[in-house]
Amino acid sequence: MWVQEELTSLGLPMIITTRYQPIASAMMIKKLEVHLTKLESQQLADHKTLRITKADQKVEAEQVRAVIDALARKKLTIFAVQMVIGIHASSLERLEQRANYCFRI
Amino acid sequence: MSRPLPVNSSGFALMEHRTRPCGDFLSCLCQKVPEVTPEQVKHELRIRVSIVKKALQQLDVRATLLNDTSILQAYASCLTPGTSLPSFEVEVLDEGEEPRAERATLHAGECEAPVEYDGTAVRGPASIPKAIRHTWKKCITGLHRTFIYTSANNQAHFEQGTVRVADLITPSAATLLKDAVAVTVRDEKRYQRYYEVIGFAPELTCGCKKS
Repeated sequence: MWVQEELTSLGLPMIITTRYQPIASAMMIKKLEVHLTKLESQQLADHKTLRITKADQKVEAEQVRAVIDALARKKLTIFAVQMVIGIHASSLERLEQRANYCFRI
Repeated sequence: MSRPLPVNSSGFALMEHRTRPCGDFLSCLCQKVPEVTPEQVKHELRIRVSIVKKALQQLDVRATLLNDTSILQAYASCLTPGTSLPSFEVEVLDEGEEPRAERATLHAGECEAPVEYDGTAVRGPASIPKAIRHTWKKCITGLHRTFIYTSANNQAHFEQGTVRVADLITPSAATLLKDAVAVTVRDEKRYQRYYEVIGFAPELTCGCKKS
């Protein structure tokens, strides 16, 4: 939503399309579990080789675990989000200017 | 080496699915997919609309279904942003009346509406006196041109099967250029460029605004 707010505040004629497609929780849980296994394996390998695990990896594992739990309890749905931004103008030069202005900011 | 099995409820569901015998799987594949009728699709759509409407009501947002002309305008505005759109209103022409001068090239009689109707008045040159079939001449302006057709009723609303929706909302021309699309509506040309957002900044969470 914040992207849309930023873009519309430019005051340029444009079309913003956002598409939300719900992802099946069972499939998402499966993917996240694979990812969690990887993270935990890394942590275990670090522990065995007396290496310090990166802090963000620990946090990530906790977050993934929390998301899996929420998905399993049907408290959360994950959506695939696709956003398309269309800019239009009366001439090619003006279109170029608008596109540059829009994506510079 | 086997991976530890998940312990949550969905995990059990997955495990159950994995242990299903192959015969079941093959029989699932061989089963015919039931045919979905347009009525079923419409029913499903009505349910979805109702759910969305309820959700919007909870947010104090009032929502209403668009009528035919508004839907056509919405479609057309997506295809040709920035151009002036026709009203897509159906106009019932009087006897001998021609569409307004500002309308585009006429293509009379291309879209016939062969609907029978027994009325009392005879209107329009397209009516057939012998068979006492009364027809009305109507016109609707699309993005590229105006369509004239005959109809068995005199109501000024969009009728299915008379004019194709695709013909109404199609622009006059669309040319693919390098990094842009040039869309012409009658004599007006506009250029469009599209971008797809493929990733968001990792440090921003949902609802956060960049400071």
